[in-house]
Amino acid sequence: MSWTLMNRCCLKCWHKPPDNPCPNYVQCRIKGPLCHDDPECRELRARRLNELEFGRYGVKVRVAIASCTLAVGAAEVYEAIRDYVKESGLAIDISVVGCHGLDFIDPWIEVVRKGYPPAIYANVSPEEVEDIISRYLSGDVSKAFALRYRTGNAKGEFHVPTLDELVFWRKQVRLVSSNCGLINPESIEEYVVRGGYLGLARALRMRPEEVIEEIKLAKLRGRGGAGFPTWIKWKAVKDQVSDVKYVVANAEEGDPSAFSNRLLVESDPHILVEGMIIAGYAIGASKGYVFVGTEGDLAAERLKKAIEEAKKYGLLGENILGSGFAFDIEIVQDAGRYTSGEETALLEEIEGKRSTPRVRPPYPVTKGLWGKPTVINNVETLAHAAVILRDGWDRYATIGTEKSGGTKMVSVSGSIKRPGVYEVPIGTTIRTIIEDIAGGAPEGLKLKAVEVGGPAGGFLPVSEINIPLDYDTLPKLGVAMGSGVLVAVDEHKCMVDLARQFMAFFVSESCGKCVPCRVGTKTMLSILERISSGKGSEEDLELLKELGETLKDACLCALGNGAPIPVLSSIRYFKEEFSAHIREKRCPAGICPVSREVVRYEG
Amino acid sequence: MIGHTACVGGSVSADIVLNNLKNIERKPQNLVKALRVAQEVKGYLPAEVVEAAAKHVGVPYSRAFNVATFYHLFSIEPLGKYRVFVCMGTTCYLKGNKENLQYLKSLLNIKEGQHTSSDGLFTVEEMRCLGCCSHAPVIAVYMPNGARKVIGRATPEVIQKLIDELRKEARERGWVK
Repeated sequence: MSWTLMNRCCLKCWHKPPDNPCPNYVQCRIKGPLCHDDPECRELRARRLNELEFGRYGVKVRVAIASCTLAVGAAEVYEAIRDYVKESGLAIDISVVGCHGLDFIDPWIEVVRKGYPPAIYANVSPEEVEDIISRYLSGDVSKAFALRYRTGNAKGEFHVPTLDELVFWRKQVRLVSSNCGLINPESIEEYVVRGGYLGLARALRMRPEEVIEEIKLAKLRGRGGAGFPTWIKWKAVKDQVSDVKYVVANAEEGDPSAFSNRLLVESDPHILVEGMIIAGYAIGASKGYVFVGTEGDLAAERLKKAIEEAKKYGLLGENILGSGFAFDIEIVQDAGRYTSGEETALLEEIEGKRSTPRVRPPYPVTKGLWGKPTVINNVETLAHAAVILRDGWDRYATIGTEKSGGTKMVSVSGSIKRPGVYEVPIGTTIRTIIEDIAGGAPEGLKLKAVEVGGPAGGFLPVSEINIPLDYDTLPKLGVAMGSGVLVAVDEHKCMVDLARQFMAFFVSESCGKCVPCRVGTKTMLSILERISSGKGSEEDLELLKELGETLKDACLCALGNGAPIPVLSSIRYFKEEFSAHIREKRCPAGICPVSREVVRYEG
Repeated sequence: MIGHTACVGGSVSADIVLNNLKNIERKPQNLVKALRVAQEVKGYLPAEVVEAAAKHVGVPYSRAFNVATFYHLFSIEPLGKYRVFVCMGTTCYLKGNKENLQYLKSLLNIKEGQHTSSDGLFTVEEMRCLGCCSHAPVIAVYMPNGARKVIGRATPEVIQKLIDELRKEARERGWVK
């Protein structure tokens, strides 16, 4: 392979990890050379930067390859481009990128050429590839979906919006997802060019307590669900006296319909690696584990590559950037269980056991992995930590709400025009996300409810979605931010059926360790089945509420505590649907078995 | 080992599984990892294989059995060549995978309470969330070579086409007539 920015530019550079690493190594990649001045070295860097942007021949096609795009044919599109380039003999580089979250345009590609506007093409089929590229090369961008920016010299340029002109892009604040869809997830060089590892370099020049202070001032709260202030967790582990401590990144996105973590790790694995090293430095840990879900094969593969590359260039391993700090990361992949995403259950699985939750206290901050003090953070939280250390807390804290700084990546799906992952400031209203950004219901449909925060989050009626998405407001309405899931439910769906389906999920996923969850979910399911088959009574609703409250109080972990929430929130906001099943023996949406029987009798 | 299936069928012997375990460091924490590898190589986890994995990482058989029967990825019963997962996550359920599941099972003539087709080619299971919710409903096929194919925007037509393709492949490889 030819020279990259990660290498030394010439023999005058004395950087040599791990024995003699340069503390300015990261800054030097983009602003260098710093230790000496040589026009040739500067020229070498400038050439390489240009190459990264526009490819070796001045033209580059970016193909989004991530789980989402692969599910709708991105691999075939990639092959078509490769074949076309080969057969036509055109001098074009093809680069794999992750996904920027606009899933409604999958599979998508972007063509860039020096001096011309970078153009994004939506819903590309293999057959269209040739036409798209040849038209673009002839200077015509009129068929593009959007442009990154305009240059004023391409045909049709002013009929195509730039990304910033599109509401679903403009209303986002992309802090942790800024690289997603733009860089090659397998290239540490591209990550570094976009400011990657600068946060780590800055953190290593600070004292650990200063790093924690920075996180505190940024008002970062855990993005995994509970919204616990991250700095308290970090400080608790830092204050523990122990020879061994651990950082665990939770990338097991167990919640159905949550896919923002998956997208982040697949599209920008280095941001997680960087966040973990920073956390390790702050708390005094030298080992980290990333816990990846069963569905995370691609994420695990790209993370593995990221870890290898970070090691190769001395950003991971011994004596990182000459600081004397050593850190290593290992990947563990889940074998498939909803409980595995629960923080103590996940520790059990890393230890090679069943992923069942532990009794707390002791909390993981005092006795975590193998009984050692452990910080467990969601991957997005760790990515935010990297951004905060890079940009400084003051900039970060201006985004978000008074009590909670920054942004949250939300996964929007269901009956919606523009499903995808969007990064918005904390405190953005759910209505803004659902209607402005995601475009509301598809033509001909009307929304009825929005599931907020995953299965343990709950349902809100559309009339109530004018509320800010944050950790403090949502619980007052009986729902939770959870993993940032928003699922739009249209009028043709039945809330009783959905509540029953959720409970069936919890029944099959309950690990069985504690009685309230194991027996409670089963009992609630049988009541819901009774109601949906038209055999329910008014008392059943009371019983569901009573059982629900018991589960909320008595279960061992948050998954059991959260299990009744979809049911309780459905009863709270959609009582008339339950009543229709109970009193009129009728399913208004015509989904539950009760109504099918009625239809048969009428026929 | 009462109640646990002994090694039946399959072309992969316990020796080959053992061979694949060699790369895994011998320590108890690697039990899940060892079982993952064994499941992938053998296709399911018969008693001998679980025992081999247990011995390899140094835990009692009982603990390995306990873990092997807990996670969804593991099966102690033989499975079809193709493992078809139908996502029943919120979005996929809302978008029609309940109907797709019924269709798939009737297409493969798999009865209520069963999972594997009588020709031993397909096992149909429910799973929750492959993280491609934007393209719901989603189904996934774990191929015999360990590769995974995820199919978004699934409909009965898409499923029919997929099954036809897989059946053709199976015939070409001589797995069925």
